[in-house]
Amino acid sequence: MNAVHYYSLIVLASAALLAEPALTQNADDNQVKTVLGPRNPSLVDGANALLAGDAEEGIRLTRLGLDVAVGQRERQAGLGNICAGYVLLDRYDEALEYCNQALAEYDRNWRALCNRALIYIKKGRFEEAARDLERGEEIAPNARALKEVRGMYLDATDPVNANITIDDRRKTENDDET
Amino acid sequence: MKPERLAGLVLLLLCSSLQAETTVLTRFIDHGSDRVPKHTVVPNYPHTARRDRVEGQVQVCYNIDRKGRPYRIAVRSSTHRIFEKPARRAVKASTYLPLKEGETRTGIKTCRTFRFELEPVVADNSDPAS
Repeated sequence: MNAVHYYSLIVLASAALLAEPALTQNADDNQVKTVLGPRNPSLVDGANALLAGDAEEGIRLTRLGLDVAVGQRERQAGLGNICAGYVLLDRYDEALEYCNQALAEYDRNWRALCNRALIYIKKGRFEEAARDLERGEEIAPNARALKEVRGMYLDATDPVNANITIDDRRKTENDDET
Repeated sequence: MKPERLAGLVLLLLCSSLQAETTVLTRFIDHGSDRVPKHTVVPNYPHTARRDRVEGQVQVCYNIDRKGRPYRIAVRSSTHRIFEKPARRAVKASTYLPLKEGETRTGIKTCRTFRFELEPVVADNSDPAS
């Protein structure tokens, strides 16, 4: 029996992405100073928890960060990471909800498209997975995550067995060694 | 470096069950070398090639020393570079029977061709009751 195992693969907006230093005004000399530390620590901690594989804690922290998210970038990262967290927990309906929300707000978020395609594959909704993959590949044609999910899609819809043939029949090239 | 430059993606490959995705069926086709294989290592089908549905073949030529170990291993031809490394590694890890005392080497290189193919899995629709 050919047991097909899939990678459990998600794409997160990284902690580095979220760890943008905050800018603040110094009241005394009215100069702009860079304050060390992320602007939205909950989002960063959530991303780190997800990266460490602690999906529940990652979701909890990311939710906190999402509540105080500033701008589309942080919201997209938060929604996408919660989606990814639920994928990690195999809770695909909830994951879909957050990926849908991310894409409703910004439809060129290829990470969310990639994660949603993965969810659709897991749920056996292959036509929708194909659409998301095509769209994601248009936006980020070289993204490795999309290639991995495309491979999973192909494995689900057109499975193949790898076959290696070793052919020893040929014997050529004179040895110049003495 | 600007924080923006650090921004990027983290591709999280949480390997719930890493690899084991490849079923390798190996066929040995009649052996034409003057040396007899002792232990033949089958290369792995490269993950990215399988993922991207890439097939191809590599011919590797090499000498075999008295003890049966391949050396001077070189790729003679290949359709895709992705297959070259696993093919070379497989040859390097393979062995032949050593020469007996008094036997001499013919001085002919041995060549081995590896074909990497993907075959559709045919669904078994037969009625188990029949």
